[in-house]
Amino acid sequence: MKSIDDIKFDTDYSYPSTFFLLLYNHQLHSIPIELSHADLLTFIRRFQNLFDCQQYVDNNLQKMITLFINNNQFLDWDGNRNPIQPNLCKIFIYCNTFLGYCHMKSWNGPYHGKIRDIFMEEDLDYHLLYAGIDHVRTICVELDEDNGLHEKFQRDGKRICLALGDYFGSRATRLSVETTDNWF
Amino acid sequence: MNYSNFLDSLTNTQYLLVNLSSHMTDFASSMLGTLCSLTSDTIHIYNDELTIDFSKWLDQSTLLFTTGQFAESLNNLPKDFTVFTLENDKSKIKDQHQCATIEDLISQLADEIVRKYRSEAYEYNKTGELNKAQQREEKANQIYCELIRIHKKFTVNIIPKKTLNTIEPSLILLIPNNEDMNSIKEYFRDFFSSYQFFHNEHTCHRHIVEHENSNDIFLIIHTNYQESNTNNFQQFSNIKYVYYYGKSKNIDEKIFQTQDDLYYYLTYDLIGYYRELGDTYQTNNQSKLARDIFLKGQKLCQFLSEHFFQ
Repeated sequence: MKSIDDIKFDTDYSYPSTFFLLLYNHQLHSIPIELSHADLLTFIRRFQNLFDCQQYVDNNLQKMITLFINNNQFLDWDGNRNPIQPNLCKIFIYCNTFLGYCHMKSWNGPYHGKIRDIFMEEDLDYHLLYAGIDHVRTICVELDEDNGLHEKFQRDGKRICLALGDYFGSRATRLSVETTDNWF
Repeated sequence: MNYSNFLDSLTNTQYLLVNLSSHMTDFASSMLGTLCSLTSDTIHIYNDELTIDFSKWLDQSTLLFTTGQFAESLNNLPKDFTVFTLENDKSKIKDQHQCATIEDLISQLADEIVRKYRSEAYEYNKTGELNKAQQREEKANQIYCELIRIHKKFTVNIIPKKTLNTIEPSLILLIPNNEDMNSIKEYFRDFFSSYQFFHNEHTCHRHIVEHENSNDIFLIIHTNYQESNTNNFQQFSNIKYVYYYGKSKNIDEKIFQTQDDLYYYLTYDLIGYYRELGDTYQTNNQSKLARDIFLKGQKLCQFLSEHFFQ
């Protein structure tokens, strides 16, 4: 089973002007989140610690940043960052409880306008792939076609698309199994 | 489907709800109803009680959900009971087991039930009983999916009313002429149920009003129409996405200057749209339709990779 730990950042993704960060603190999760396509998520920079992640955002003011963050850590982030960081462009919030989900949905703090989506953490796999496609596409559009990395990013994008296709495929398959299966 | 066998090991945990009925809202009752139906007989509801005889729960792990007032009145509460309370007085709230609203309290109940399933799934995974593990995992996911659907229903006001038999959304274009958009039908083929072209915003507006209860709509508006009141198109519940396309002097707005960009975002948004639609059909137990939708999503991913990542 692949998990967050299998995400290995590829430093080629340091060149483009958009960054993709994932803040994930192991201590907040007694059961690790499964990420079946973790090996494809090479565009993700992972952070364990809230402070390190905020520092990183502060140090990269010239980059446009997409951030995936847990609902509890998001509230901490919001609590100790005022004014808001302008380079933090898109925020995706994964929630570990339904209570947290409801609170996030009705939440109206300063970062409200930057929140792109709120979902339960078991959907993290799907949302990382889905947002990942858009991230890689943005990078590809930004880079000139004769840039050496262009082809590589295109290839990565293709693989992420196909992984997302697999996700849809397996959901479809599971439904065909379920209709014939009576659980025991 | 018979869940009673499946829930065998859960019978060790009981959830007691005491004296909450008078605090219930439609939203909370709806959530509770769903939880009860998905967990068979592990949730026990009592009302108008002065006290509770806990002796029959002693050998089981028990979670009690009640009002702060009732909890305070209990002096025979066994030590290993976990208590969650609804507090009228917000200043009394000191920890996470105390809630200000009934919705929060029922959400906590859901989270506790899911936590239980998840930890069982984790244990079964460790002992190699993968089948059981997967069933618990799916059960947990099903609870969250249903609750999220209920949450949407009570907060977003969507009426999932469909009069047409198609699952695909419609594409509507408001453009000065069809010329550079003629290719769109062939390009997206059956990913949309219909393609309609309008050259006049009033006709377009009327069409959308008249069809508000039918299909979901993806709407493309040429920047020539930007000056007119095209913003109010967004207010219709069936308009899912609006795209501005063409040249523009206004750079603030998200406007697609090239057809490639526009087509990319249409495809990309369709994937997200089909995923949500599939979830909805799946929680509605319309498995066959849900499966068709997911297969369409799969095709779209293939399509995206072929057209936009060379």
